[in-house]
Amino acid sequence: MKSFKIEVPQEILDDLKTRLQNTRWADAGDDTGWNLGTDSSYLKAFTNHWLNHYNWRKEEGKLNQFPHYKTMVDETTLHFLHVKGNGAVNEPLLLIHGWPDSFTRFLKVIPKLNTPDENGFAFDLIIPSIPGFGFSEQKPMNSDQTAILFNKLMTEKLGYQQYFAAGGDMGSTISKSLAIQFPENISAIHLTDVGYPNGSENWAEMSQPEQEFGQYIQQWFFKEGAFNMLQSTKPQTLGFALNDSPVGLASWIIEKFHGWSGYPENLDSYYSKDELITNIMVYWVTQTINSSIHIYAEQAKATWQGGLKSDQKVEVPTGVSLFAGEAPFPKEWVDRKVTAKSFNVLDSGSHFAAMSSPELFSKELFDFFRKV
Amino acid sequence: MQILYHPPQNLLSDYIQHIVYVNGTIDMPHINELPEGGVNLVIELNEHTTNYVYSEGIKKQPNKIKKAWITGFQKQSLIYKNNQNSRIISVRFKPGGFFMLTKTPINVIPFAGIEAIEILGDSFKACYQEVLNSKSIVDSFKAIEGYFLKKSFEFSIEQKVIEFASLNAHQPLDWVVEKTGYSQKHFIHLHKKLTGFTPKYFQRVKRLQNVIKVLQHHTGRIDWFALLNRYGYFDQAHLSKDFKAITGLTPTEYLIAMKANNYNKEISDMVFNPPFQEIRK
Repeated sequence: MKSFKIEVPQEILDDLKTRLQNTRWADAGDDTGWNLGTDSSYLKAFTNHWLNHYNWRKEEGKLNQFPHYKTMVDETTLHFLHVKGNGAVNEPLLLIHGWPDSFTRFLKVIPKLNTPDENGFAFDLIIPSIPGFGFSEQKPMNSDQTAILFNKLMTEKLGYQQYFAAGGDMGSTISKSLAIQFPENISAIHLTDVGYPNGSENWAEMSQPEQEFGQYIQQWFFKEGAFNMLQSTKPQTLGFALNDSPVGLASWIIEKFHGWSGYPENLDSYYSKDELITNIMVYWVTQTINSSIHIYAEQAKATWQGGLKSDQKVEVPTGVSLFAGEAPFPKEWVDRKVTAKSFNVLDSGSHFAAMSSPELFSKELFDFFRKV
Repeated sequence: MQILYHPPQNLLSDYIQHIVYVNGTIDMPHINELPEGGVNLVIELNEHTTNYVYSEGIKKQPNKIKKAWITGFQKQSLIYKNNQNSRIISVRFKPGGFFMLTKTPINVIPFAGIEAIEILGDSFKACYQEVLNSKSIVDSFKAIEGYFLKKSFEFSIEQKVIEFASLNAHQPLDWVVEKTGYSQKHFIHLHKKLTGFTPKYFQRVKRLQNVIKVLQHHTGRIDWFALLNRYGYFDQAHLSKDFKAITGLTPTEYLIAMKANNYNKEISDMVFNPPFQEIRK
């Protein structure tokens, strides 16, 4: 295990600047809004900010204030942050990001979660990059395979025989897989979604609220889900385009941040441009957009080839927080997927709650893990 | 110099990666053969030519090899002395492929090579003569394929297991083992029997092959930062160390060789005229 600093060579930044300056804008008009995809005005303002106000070296310095490490687990290099808690009791907590975010999803909750509560309880935080993302090796793998590596990281490399895991999006799937594959190591998990219908459900057997949720997801799939089909079937087609154009990459990613935050009028009220750009920079400088979307294809392949462990019901105690902007799954669906010890429906937040509502997200984690 | 590359016909493609003809009429001291996880059968078409292979590095005495020989599993690269009187056909087997066709445990084959007849027996003599007597190189390829097509093609679960492991060499070993249904111990034993390598070493070779392919086909600037990150090398020093251990060359030396000789762009598992530091001194 080696400590690691992010040091992006200047030539990569110079090349990025040239590409941003030379952007060929599609003629989409200026008042399109978000209906047909990324809002043209927002994207232009975003690009202007990226080019003229955003300072990677400053953001890189901020990222490097956290202790980063790289280690090889099963011949796969994993990047992770390991931030020790300041409590009298510090419980190890593995925080797992999703797509299209990165380890940066959790930056704002680190100082909250490693600061002890009134009883001296805090967390030792382990925040990895999923293989295929950021500074981990670009080996796209399914959630069961990633879970094997993460469990080895926690138990063999860091020596935590019992730990908590939490996450959303892919992070939720990997947390569930950890709980199912390694119940002896996972004391409890916290999720901001419990997984979505995958087409194999028998809706006739389900409760009314679940049927409504199923219909919601079906509609969502038609309106919003094309990205998923594309990334599950032909990721590479997209990968070549997005790896070559920073504005194209930003457009693809930002639309998700907008759509999965409840389509806000003003995206800036959810996320600063700087934090969105830093997240995109993690994909750009490491050239990981292709490997990150390839994971959807790995996941789809595993689903037809006998299924994933994360499709089974989680028996480990689970806390679920449903933030606003997330697909509104009902309690019945939660109980079908996990052994929920708590289920809180919150009136603010987003799919990326750790970024958009760091206070609330941290409170949810404290409230749940303190009790189990 | 002439190079002919021949992909094996369908039935053999599970076992043989490629067959290559190299005519060594170019003036260069050495050819460096890089490990790819499978063994090699090399046939010298000039009956009376002796070749030399340095199995213990360029400073040690080379081994003499003649006619047709088989080199064992390669943990490191194998350096041949280039011979301008030499015309060879090299049959590169896939990992596990040679074992499955011949049932020869890979660990009995010495790294530096052994006469093919000692491993394949008298049946190979006829093949060797046929290759020598062929009117064209294409006929020689056919004779070699014909010989291996006569081997038994029974379904083997062991081969399927190694094929699966080879396809999934980038996945966690525990996952691969669980999918095969073998115990970890049994799986590692089987992997060694069929390929000569432990699964871990095989993964290490595969990782480096990825880098070699990028370097071989690169045009313009190499983004080392992205390259190191993509294949999980901690930094350039770690990559150089692994590169040197497996190929005998540093990445810079490899790039020099690529630039100096166009043939090096054609075949990924050989480096013609490698610029060894030892030689320069």
